[in-house]
Amino acid sequence: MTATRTAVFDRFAAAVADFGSPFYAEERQRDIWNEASAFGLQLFLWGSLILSAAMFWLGGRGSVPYGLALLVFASLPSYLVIFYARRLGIDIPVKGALRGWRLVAFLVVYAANIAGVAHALDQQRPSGGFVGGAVIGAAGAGGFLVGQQVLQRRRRQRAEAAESIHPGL
Amino acid sequence: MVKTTAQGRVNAVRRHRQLADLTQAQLATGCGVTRQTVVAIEAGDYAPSVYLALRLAQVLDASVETLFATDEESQP
Repeated sequence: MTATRTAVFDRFAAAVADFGSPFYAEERQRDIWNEASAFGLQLFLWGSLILSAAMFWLGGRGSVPYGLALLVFASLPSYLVIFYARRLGIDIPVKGALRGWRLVAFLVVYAANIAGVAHALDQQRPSGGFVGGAVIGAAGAGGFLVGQQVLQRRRRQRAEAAESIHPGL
Repeated sequence: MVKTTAQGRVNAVRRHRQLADLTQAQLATGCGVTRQTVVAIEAGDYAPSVYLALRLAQVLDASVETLFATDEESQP
């Protein structure tokens, strides 16, 4: 890597990813490795989302903790990627991650997970809707918060773009 | 947005390498990259960094502008 970054997180990331390896010195190898890593990460994320939905739908009530644990586990590298990129001025979620068919596919899988949790929780305890309702409520609130964040960021970007077009105003 | 990838671009690296009577492997060694990288650059599949472009120009005794013209410059 070209830039010298000395924060603890950067040193941790460099140690984990072995940024000092001679492999990274060859620029095309580095680029291809970055692409391959992005592919692997995306495949892992989508696979985890689909697997958790399948667990909820097919595994019954007992699968819920494991499915939720899988979702939490799968979200960690994603958050770390976003955090790493943001530290270097790249805003991944708005600018590149979910657009077009990817956004539609994500919403479908997201809905399949929420519905799957509700389905699994209601399977053996039809009247025990409290936990299911709480999960759906939390998921709905989470979706609302994410949507709100995206809208806020877009508004901010539009404001920044307008500012750069008319710098004197 | 300005296009900074190699896709759809032609470059003169292969022609200058042949003029210099160098193999892809020799050019790669001279620039400190793998032969696959030279292959990708010649095929227009990879846009080298400014430092590699300068190194290529140095080894091929040409200017970077000669090796990598912009879309406008490469128009007949």
